[in-house]
Amino acid sequence: MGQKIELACIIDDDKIYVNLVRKIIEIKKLSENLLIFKNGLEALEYFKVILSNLTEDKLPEIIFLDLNMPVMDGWEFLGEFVKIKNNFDKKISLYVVSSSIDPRDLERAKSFNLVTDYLIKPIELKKFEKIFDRNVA
Amino acid sequence: MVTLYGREFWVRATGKPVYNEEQSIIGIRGVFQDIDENKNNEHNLQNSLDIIAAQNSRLFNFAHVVSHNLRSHSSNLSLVVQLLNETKIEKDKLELIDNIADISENLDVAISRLNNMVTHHDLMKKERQMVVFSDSLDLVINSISSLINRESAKIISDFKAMKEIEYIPEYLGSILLNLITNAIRYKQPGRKPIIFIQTYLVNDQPFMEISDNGMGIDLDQYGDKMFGMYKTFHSNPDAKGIGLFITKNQVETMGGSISVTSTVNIGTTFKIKF
Repeated sequence: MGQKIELACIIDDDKIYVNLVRKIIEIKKLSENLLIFKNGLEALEYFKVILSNLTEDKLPEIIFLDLNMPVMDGWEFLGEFVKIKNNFDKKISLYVVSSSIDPRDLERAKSFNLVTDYLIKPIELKKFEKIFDRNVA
Repeated sequence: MVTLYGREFWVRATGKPVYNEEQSIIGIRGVFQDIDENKNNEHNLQNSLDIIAAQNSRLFNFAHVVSHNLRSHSSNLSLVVQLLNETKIEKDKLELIDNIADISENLDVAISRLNNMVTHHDLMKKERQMVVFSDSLDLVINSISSLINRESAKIISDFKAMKEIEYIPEYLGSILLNLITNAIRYKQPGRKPIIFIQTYLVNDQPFMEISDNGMGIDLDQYGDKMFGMYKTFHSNPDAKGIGLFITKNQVETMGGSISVTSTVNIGTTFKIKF
């Protein structure tokens, strides 16, 4: 252990959920910093700025992406993120996190190469720790 | 075929060729059978089938929404419980208990919204009656007069071609209300909303069109989702993603259909076929 993630990122419009995850990360000391976006578009704009400034240290190592969001949902974000992701050298693990248990959503998420895994809400604390552990550089 | 009095009806023709002595066909001898009733029954059956298929897909969507909505709260609740078990700091515990209050409130709101939707379906049992468009519109305008005044919205109507329709009054009111408030809510910033409402007939088929000069929407991107439940396309905090879903439901329950055309920055037009 000892080492931990520098920067994690949550893209989710559910404020309570985001708060709770923030709490988990704080209590368990899983990441130094946390980026929060409340929909896909906000997140995408952030990544585009990084791309044009080439400041890769501002890139998260882990992204937790919700599916059902206003303005730009998780699917649309994935569609756009695929196009820019290869411009980054850093390894980014992207987890789709949703309360949808629809098997079609799961299939569709797995069809994206850049999706590391599909997680169904609620995520257990232990699972969170494992994910962060696994992604420590 | 057409009867003496000009009524059109379906027939089935059956016949045999008639040969002359050289064995070449010189005509056909047979009967026309009136199958109008069968054919009409077939049409009706197909219509019922379409309605049931549409209702089925709505129910499916509804079930999906119910499960998704309740799940998101229950999963938050489970996260809180896990955290409560983990944390030893009193202050964190108190914060988490606040979260429980929020979750319970959200859950309550979600359930009452779902409940609303079910009651909307129940209205179906109400009877159709003659509704005068201008009366219905006046009621709606009165109920949202403060919104209209605040945004200096202008509503122009033209019901000359069709003044009234046999419909459920509550439905017509709710359709007008949803489309008008949408038009105002998604106005083009810096432009006063102008909404034009018109009824007309095409081959005796009644239509209503509601056009605005609002911000419009990219239909290539959002078109198929426009009438889905909980789909919001603007980060407008008022948007609950439920209005157009209900509107479409009401129009279809009455046997009609609704379509939309839109140009970004120019405006949107909803067309209802009654």
